[in-house]
Amino acid sequence: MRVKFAKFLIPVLLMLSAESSWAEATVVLVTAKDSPVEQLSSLDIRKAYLGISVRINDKTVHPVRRRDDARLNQIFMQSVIAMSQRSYERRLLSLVLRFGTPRPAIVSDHDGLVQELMSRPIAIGYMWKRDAEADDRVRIIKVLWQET
Amino acid sequence: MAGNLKSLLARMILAVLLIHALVLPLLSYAMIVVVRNAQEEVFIDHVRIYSRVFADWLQAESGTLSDADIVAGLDSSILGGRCVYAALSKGDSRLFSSLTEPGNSDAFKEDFEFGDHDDSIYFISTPLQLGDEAAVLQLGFDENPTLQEIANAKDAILLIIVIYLLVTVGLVVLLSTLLSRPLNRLRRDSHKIASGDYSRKMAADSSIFEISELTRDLENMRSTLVGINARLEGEIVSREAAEAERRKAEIHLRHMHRLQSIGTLAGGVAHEFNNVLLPLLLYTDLALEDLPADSPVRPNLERVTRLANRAKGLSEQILTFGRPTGETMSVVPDLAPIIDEATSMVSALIPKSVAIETEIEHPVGPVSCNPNEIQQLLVNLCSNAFQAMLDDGGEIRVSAKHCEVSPEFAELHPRLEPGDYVCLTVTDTGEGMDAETLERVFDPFFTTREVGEGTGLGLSVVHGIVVKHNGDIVFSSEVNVGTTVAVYLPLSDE
Repeated sequence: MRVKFAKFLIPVLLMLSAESSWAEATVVLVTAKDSPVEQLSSLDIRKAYLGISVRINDKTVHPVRRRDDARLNQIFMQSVIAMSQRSYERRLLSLVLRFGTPRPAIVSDHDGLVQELMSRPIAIGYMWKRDAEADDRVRIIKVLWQET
Repeated sequence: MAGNLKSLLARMILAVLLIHALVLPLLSYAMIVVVRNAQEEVFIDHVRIYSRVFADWLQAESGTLSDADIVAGLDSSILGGRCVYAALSKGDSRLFSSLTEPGNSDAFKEDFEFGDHDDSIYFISTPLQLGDEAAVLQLGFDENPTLQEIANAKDAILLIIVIYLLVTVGLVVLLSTLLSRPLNRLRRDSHKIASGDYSRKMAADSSIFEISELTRDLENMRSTLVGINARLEGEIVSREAAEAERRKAEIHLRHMHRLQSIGTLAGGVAHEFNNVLLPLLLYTDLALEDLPADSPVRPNLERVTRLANRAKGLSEQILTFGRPTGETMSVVPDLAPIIDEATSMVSALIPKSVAIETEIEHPVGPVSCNPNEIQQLLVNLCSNAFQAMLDDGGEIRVSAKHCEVSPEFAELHPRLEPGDYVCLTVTDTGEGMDAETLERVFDPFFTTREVGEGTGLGLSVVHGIVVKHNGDIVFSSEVNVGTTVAVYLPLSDE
């Protein structure tokens, strides 16, 4: 009887554990593992993603966006960019045209993001913390948002 | 009802309603979605930038701000706008605005879209760095004003659409009435034309070009139709008149042929009769010469002579009708004396109840004629006239004047040729004749008098004389009004 109860309880506890880790989701700013980027302020991150040139060691930071994870993008827009998605697109277009800087690159999934970060040493991107911790090709620079 | 539904007005209204029933719901839905999205976007932009600016300010001032300053800042955000919840988490501690309701301390559930969590509050967390310590600014914004604005916009859109629909239907009714009124008038007018009433003129008073042109074309067609109709009616009338005249002329011609045949036959009979009468008279005269004056046979023989002479007179009359008598014709420059003499003779014969009037041009001629026969003709005509007025009396009018026979008149009376004639007319106010009697007036021995009162040869003799003089005779009579007999005698060139 005790064995049967234990068999039932363990999966439930595992599920609760998984729910708990999902509930405490965290979004982080990442770069390639060997990137020289060490620290970026919130303002610099916003500038970089709005198409305004941000330089580190005389090299321009290349921001990378993702389009595959709607929730991740919503959190990023709210916590970092501080605009709605459409306002951001309009504002980005306006600033890109004004300053002539390239738009942030857009990738379609996690691997695409990592490839983009690795191909450009001064590139930054954002992802879930758990994904960043599971991938040794990237390095976490900063916590952008943490669920409370 | 089915007819009403087929009318222009009903169809236009139905079409407009159908189109709007399809388009308006989609349009209103699209407008509401656009307005809602715009309002939500403005709200989200507002709260996100507000939170970011507030967080940046806290971050910038982190070295100088005490907890009381932070709480004052949180209070300020609630006082100044739509913010209803303000807190700052740093490490294990949380600072709340003093204006946050106590029950709301654990209400924070972060939203990423407008309307999340059904709590009418948009909660937003913004990470920041207070010195070396990570912190999170938590703000909550009231969604109700925006929801109310969306609802107001929705109501306004629906109201505008309803007003638009009513105005559109009204305009359609007005437009279709303006269109259908001249069309209905055209329809009524064309129905009248179709039913044979061409009198109503179609008025092209519509301001719509197509209808005005259509009305003008229909009016042209109606005018043409009226013209054609009038011409056809005129042609029918003239053809009927011509046909009646032709029929009359045909009857007259047939009658003449019949009279000619009868005349030939009667002439032959009269000639043979004369051949018998002449020896009879001759031998009776011889017998009378040989008889003594007091012979009892003499009265009988004298009676035979009288009767034979009377029979001879009859046969001469028949010969006058049937063939030329052989008496000489001469050019008479003026017929007036002959006519006067004849009317004087007639005046002596007719009763006093009948008046005789003459109207004679002087001179009236010249005419190539036999004066005796002209007198006989007039006496016979006047005799017939007063016989028709014996009972009630009346008036005989004898006139003689020049006249011109037109080609049309000559066509109706084949014996006449266009030219100048003397027209002798005898008019009475007697009982007149019906059509049947008129047809037979020239027939020998035809009479309307009692047996023994007339021979029925008077008008036959008149006809014979007129034919002999290359003229013609025309009767016109009306029962109980009177009769007019016109004799046309050609003027002589000599």
